[in-house]
Amino acid sequence: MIRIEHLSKQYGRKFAVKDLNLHIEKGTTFGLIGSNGAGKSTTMKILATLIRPSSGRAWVGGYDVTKSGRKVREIVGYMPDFFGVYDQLTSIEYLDFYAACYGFDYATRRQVAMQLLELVDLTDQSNQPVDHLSRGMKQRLGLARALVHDPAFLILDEPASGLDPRSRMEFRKILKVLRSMGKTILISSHMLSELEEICDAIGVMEQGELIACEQVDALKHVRRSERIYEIYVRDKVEETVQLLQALQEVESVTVEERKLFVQTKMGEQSQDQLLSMLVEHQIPVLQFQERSINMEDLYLQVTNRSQGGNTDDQKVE
Amino acid sequence: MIKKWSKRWVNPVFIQESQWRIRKKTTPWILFFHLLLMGIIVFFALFVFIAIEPFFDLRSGTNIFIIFSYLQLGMVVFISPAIASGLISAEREKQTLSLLLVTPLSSKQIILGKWLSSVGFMLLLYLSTLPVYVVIYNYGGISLDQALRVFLHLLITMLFLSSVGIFFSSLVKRTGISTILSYLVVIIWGIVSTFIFYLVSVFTSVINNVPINEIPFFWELFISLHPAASMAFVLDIEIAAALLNMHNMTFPVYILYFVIYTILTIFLLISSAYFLSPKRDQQKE
Repeated sequence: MIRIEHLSKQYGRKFAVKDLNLHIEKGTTFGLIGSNGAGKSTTMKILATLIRPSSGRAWVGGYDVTKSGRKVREIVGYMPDFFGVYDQLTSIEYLDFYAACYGFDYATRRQVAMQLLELVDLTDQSNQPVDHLSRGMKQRLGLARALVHDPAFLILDEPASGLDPRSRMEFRKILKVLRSMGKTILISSHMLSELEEICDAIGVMEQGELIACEQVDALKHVRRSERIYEIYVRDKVEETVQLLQALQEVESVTVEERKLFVQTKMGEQSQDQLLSMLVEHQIPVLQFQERSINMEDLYLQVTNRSQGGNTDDQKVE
Repeated sequence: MIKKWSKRWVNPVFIQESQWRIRKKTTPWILFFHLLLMGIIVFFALFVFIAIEPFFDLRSGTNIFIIFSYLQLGMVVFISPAIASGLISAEREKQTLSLLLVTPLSSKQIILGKWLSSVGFMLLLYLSTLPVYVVIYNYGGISLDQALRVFLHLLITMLFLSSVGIFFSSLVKRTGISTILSYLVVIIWGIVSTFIFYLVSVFTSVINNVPINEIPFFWELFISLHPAASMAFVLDIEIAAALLNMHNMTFPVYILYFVIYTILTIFLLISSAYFLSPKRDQQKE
């Protein structure tokens, strides 16, 4: 379990993290999204015992990150957003070195390193110098390094940044395996779409504050039940808007010149009814199509609706 | 028992760093050219002595040993800071430091591992010149305890200068700045202190109307902290021996050098660990 209470980190007058409250249950995969400077990395660094908070407290696995740093480091695997490698080492030596830092003997180290290389699909690169690996491979090796001591908690700071689509997919696959192993994962990203597949819950940070927190299932449910139709009309825009707004199932209508975006709770089967209704009222429809719902828009919409901006002590189970 | 001992004392940072140094393609060449340079200078001195003196006596052997000891000292003074001043800052630049800091290794262990590896490399350089020592020793004029004292002096100097390098390396982010600061300390220590000593000697002799070599005892102790001066005490060179006789001192002054620089080394290492510790987080996201 990860618990954060009124956590703040201040640099001069600027807050990198401001009064953060969060509770992540054991075995949960929690995603943090936010733009650069939102406070994601600072929060993660505090949890990884790399920096000290200015105020507030945080516990990982029951250990206070400021008082029991060593204990926390023993149970946490941390992967920073940017990290270097020792270019003079091969992949297996790289993992061997970090395993030695955790006090493993030589035989165990080699065994662990081989198992991890297999997990991240780098077995064939075991004797390659780390410097010769591609970015995607280095990221996977970095993940293997974070797993070298089989930690119960994983803190991954934008692990897929800078990766090509294929490498991202491979990375997600590994994360799913780790998730199935029951590890508690805190992962950050700029993009929500990147996290929705692997996370149980997601929080949004902005200017050091957690502005929203929601279960991914709730978002998926909304996506299943809500639809957006894109209707392009030759004229009669105002009349069309009035007609659509009169319908009970229509939640909102947005107009962009002669294009209308209709958000509705109608099922797929009612698409034709909506179109027929418009034709019956002699609306000159030029184009009618369903638009996929943007996860980011939906997320902010759902969180605003359910929380009204109150984010005190977000609990995720 | 052995497992428990090795877990406690084997430092993975030291092992990894040492392996890296040994594996570097340049290392054998550095060792080769170091030995070559030392050999050329010493053998040149040897031939000069043989050419000047019709008979090679013990004093010539001693003189060659003195020359060689000062050469080694120069090597230690110039190379130690260069090796140590990038130990931590290079990790920062390569973005590997945070990965080390999230392991259960303490800042002290990281500093100690890095520092010992740099000292280890210096010792390797020193040991590479053993063939030259053997040749000099064959000519006589040196006692074993004298050779050991010289080694101890060089070791203490190595330890101290490596700790200066690692101190600046953990204090500042950039290796370049760390190296400049380390050499600045060496310059102040080696050149500026000599200049100050000279000025004080002249000033004291003028004020007290005494010969320049009769300076206050305190200032003599001060100069004994200078690496070259203390090496003179270690080698028991005539001028150093004369100074000791002047004050009826039986206490070997170089001990002061050993003690003071050992204390300073410990202090600098503790400070380095303090600046490296995550508790001292100064870096912003």
